[in-house]
Amino acid sequence: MSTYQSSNQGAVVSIFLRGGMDGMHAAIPAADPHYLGLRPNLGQAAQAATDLDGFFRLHAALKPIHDIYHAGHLAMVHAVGAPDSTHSHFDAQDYLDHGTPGDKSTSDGWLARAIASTHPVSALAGVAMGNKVVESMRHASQSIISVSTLENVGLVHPLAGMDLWIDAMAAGDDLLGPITDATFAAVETLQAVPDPGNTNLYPNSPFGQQMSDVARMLKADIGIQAVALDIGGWDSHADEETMLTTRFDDLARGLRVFFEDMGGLMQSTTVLVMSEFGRRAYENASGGTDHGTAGCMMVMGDGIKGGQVFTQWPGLSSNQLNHHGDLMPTTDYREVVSELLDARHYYPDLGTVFPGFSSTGYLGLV
Amino acid sequence: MDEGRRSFIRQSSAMAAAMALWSHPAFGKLLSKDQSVDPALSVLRRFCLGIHPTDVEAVYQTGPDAWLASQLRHGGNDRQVEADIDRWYPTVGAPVADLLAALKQGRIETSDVAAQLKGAAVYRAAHSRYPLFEAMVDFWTNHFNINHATPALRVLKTMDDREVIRRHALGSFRDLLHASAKSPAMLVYLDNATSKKQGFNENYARELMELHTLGVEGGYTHDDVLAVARVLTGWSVQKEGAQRGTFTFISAWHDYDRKRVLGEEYPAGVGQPEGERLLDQLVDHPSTRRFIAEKLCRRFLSDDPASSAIDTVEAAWGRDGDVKAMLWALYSTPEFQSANVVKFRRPLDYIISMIRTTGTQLDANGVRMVALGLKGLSQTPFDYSPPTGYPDDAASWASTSGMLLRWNMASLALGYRPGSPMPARESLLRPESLVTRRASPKKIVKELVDALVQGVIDNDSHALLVSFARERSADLPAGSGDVVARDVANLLFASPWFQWH
Repeated sequence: MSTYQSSNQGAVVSIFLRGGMDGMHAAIPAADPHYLGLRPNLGQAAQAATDLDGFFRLHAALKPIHDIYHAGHLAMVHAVGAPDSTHSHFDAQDYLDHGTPGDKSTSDGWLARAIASTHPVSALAGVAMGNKVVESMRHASQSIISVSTLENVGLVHPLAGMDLWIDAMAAGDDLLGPITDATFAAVETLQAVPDPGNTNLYPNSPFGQQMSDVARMLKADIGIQAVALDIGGWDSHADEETMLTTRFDDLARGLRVFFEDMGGLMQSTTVLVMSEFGRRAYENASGGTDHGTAGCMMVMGDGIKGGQVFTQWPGLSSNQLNHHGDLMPTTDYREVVSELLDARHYYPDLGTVFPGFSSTGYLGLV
Repeated sequence: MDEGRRSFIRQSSAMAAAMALWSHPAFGKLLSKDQSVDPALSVLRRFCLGIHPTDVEAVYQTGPDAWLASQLRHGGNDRQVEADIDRWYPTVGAPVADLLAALKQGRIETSDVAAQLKGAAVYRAAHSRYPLFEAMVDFWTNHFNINHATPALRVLKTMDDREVIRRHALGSFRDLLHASAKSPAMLVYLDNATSKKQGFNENYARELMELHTLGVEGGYTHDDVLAVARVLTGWSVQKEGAQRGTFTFISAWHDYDRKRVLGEEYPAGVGQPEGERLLDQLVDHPSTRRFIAEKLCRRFLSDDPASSAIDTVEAAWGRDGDVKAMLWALYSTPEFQSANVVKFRRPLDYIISMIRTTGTQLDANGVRMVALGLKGLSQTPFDYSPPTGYPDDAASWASTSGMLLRWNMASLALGYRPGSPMPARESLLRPESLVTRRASPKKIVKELVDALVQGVIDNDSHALLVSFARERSADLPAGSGDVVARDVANLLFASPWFQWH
């Protein structure tokens, strides 16, 4: 039995593809009559892609997750976006991280607010992978742990009690004091996380290694409710096919190994893959696409109504695109996240997670 | 450690926490009213990535005003430093044609070119006699961020660093922007190099306004982005011949139709000159001077600078964005002299500060160790992929794992290895060289506090350090003063007094 009251909520693993992932190149709308006209070169990728539902096709480099999709544990949501669209990476990432599209005054992250709303008892309720603070996990009072790697967690200095000296020196600093306390509390817990010795199954990339650590921590049942991790490098203005083939391959293989490694724990775990915006519907002269609006999300978990692409497809004819020539968003991304938090993870207060947002009806992902 | 000691540390820390309750919440630790920082040290603490003992000597010799004047007048390449760089990192100074020829003949790899530029950046920051110049190089490097993402960028960034950033770091913003807009590395990084009338690319156009000049709130629209992209069609890079790898304007790719940018008409039929006009329009836009002034204040004062300070710096902009005048203006603000207006050190400042304050001389191997440290802390020069450049606020860097890595980085640099009870004699940092031989624990602390944090520390923390030094002294065999010095330095490097400046 778990020692943490909140762990019956399971864990949300939120993967943010930074740079604007081209949703139309991940789940390719191959059967849309205007698709090849907009993307005569990039569109060639549709041939090697595998079928999703007769209309959409999955990019060939995403093949490792195709089985999970067909087994019904992975769903795609397409033409999804934020209502206040912007072509600025900065603004769009801010909006997504802070969960308040159009409002730049929000300083804390949506995941951190979600965790805080449950009054977590574990110091490790929110884990951000990497050395830097992940924006979606930023919160004024909630301590969020960032984990760069599970290897050699702890102080190098040999003096027993060095932690207390460091802690004492930091006391009184409103930023570093709490961070120092939280660090040493987390170190103690993380040092006890067992190593299953299967890290080599994961891709030998930063993402693959992080997913390996995420699986280890979730299996150790240390009260983690949410994990945030970032993968950069999706800003495919030029030579997109080459660029995304590498990125998709890493993403899909990491997700596949994680799904298999987690086994039964996937019943209470949800993996959410999203990006700040999709890209322009038509390709540019550099073999890439410029910043757009709607894109696609992926949702993975045992119990998700997977094997389908949830979408109200807006179409790709010039009058169906928005005035910039972007795929029109027909689903608010907050609808997707709200449903998962509410119906799958039982979060009590969605109003604080997405202030000002009210659902117009869940998609039926859960 | 005995229980009495543990409870003493806990009490001190509880006391400090209680004191924090009745003072206002604050990032960093504050000095009490009776403590102040010598203005001579303020100028070093704000303007240097790290303070070398010779910087302190220089500022005491001439006074802070003269020190600043001299840094601004002479700031540039340090001849002694450049001599080492020419020897160790020959690609850094090589003309682009020579570099491309060497690459073509297989004499070097693009990864060597990238590694050499990274090495030079570290070495210059660690050893230049012009630390303010190097601080501004770092500022503009991030402002006009380009990363070593592709083979082309790994080569072209070398020229951008030399001919754009370092050439104009203390010059005018107008010159900087014009140079950057014609920098092959920038044109490739933000995809303008392939932007043609048919299927133009908006990436550079957008970041030019959002990140380089006006700022995201600077008052431009999506239509302005499109128009700017069209103005800059044909601004590209020579792909062949003797001029390969240099700027070129490809007339056949340029959109000669009329455009409208930020309310100004651009008539039809104009080629490259309309791009030059556009850059001047952006330099002269009021949003740009505000944006740059604010960014300078955030870099050198605090994450949330007083608007009066921004006003002061903005007023010094002049006609072209005079960098020297703006730095003088910064220096003149009351916030600049206040020890309680603090800035969090990013990993680069943190590591370079450890090197400079201890008076450590790096050799090529030391540079490699520093580069590894920067990689571990996620701030390798020229490796940040988003065009924003590395973040410059405390909240982005002060994370749990980030702090743990810092503390460990300090231990490793001081010669400790996981599992070893004593530090290796050979180590990157040797703070014992700053301490009088056979000094008492109290004296060791005093000398290291002066050298490493320029005496800026409150009485409670100072007392804690003395207790720590005494305890280490008592635990270690006689004659272990060097180890005590390293441990005191380690605790100081881990403390807030070293994270903020």
